[in-house]
Amino acid sequence: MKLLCEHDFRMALERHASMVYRLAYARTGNAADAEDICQDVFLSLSTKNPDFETVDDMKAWLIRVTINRANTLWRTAWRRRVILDGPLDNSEEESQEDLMIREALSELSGKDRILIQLHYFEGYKLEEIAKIQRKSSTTVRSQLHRVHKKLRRIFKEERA
Amino acid sequence: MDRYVEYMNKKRPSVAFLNELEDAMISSWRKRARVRLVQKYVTITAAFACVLIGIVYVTTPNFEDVIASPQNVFSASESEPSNAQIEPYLPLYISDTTVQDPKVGTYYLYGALVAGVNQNVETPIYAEASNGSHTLLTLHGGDCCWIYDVNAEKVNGLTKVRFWDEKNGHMDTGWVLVDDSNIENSLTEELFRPGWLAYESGVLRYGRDDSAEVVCDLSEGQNLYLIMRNGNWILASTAPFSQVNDINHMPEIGWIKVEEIVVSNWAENDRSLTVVSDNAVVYDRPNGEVCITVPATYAGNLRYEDETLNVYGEIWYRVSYMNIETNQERVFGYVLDSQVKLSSHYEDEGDKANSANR
Repeated sequence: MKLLCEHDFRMALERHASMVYRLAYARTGNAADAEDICQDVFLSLSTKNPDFETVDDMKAWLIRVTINRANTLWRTAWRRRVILDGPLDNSEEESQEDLMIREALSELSGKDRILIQLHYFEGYKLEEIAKIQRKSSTTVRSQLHRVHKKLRRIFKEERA
Repeated sequence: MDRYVEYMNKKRPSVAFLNELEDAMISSWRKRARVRLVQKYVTITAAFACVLIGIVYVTTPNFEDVIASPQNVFSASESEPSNAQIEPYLPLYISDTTVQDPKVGTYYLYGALVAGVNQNVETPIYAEASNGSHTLLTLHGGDCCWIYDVNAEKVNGLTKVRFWDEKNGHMDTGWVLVDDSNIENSLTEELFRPGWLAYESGVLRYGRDDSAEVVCDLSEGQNLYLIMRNGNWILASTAPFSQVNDINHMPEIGWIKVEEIVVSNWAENDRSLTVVSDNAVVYDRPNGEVCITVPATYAGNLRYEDETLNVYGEIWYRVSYMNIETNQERVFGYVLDSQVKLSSHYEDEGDKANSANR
């Protein structure tokens, strides 16, 4: 595939910006950080202009870079403290149900949130997630099982 | 999970943010595209220039004569004067004292590089370990160059040396073709002992020939440090290598006939030391860092054994003295030259000899 042109960048932004933003949001739980990461990822795409074989390759590249950037951001002590101590971002009007989901998600770790985002929202299969995250599919399966169990417990507690 | 999907669907970047991001991306891409375009043009131009030079070179008549005809090359090398094979044209590397660095245990040699006597042959010191590399210094026949470090490993037949570039006044590192096997030649005898000029006047020459260019004039009875003997000639310097500690005042080095020299025996030279400093101490090693054996002031009569220059450029005398406790065996150690005074016994002998000669 030839190098990307202006049109390709516009298309990439149109198709994948929301996905990148949500993934970053799922990891950081913060709209401002999600925007920062989103900007970093797309600027990196335009600067490096990687040579993709297929459109799926570009999507996989964007996911990997988003996760890496989010992890880097999380690694800084200040961010870690803010993200872990504070609740997920609450910038919009939220229903009672949304609030419950947000609080349940805040109980999960950032990596767990990325997992459910990729699996349930983006519709990636376990094998595909394993490939993107460079892990074995059994590891991803057991992680997802753990996340399910945790979420079930959280919702049970909240209902009680 | 449906509720999760519904919840995340509400999370999306603002339109303003996306517009800004698009502008930034496109601007960044255009900037990169311009750089790529310039790089592309430079590459194409360079390739075109190379092709053009190649075409010009190949179509030049010289090229056909010299390169395209192997017969010409062969006959050219055959007609080369074979002086180089008759005269020793490779420079000799002459090392004097071997100084051990106690920290790393590496031997540092220092000595002189003496170019061959054939005045027509040049000895280049290259910047890299390749004959085709930039030349740092060229020694002409008989020229001498002070060498401070010699790497034992050879690359492409060249030896790495750290040398004193007298012309430019600094130390440099280069590669030179050295015939160090000449030192072991039966015609060559290492001396490394003092001597003095037996006549009223004399000269040191660049080569082993009466017609060779003069390095310096020698005064009546002048002390010399005799390095090696080759046939009827002696390579001598105006100071021992071990006392070369001032890079701005390097001794002269050159050839002089055997009959013009009185050769002294270093080992028989019974020189005595007098302690001149209250703080003088005798050390195990010539670096002042390894364990102290005994204060020199209590060491009784110090006997001069030898001398050496350590890696820091300090002159240390190797001394011996009778064991204070047993008074039977001799103990060896090192003392710094500034802390003792060395009697100039051989200079006195030289004066006597000169008087006798006169």
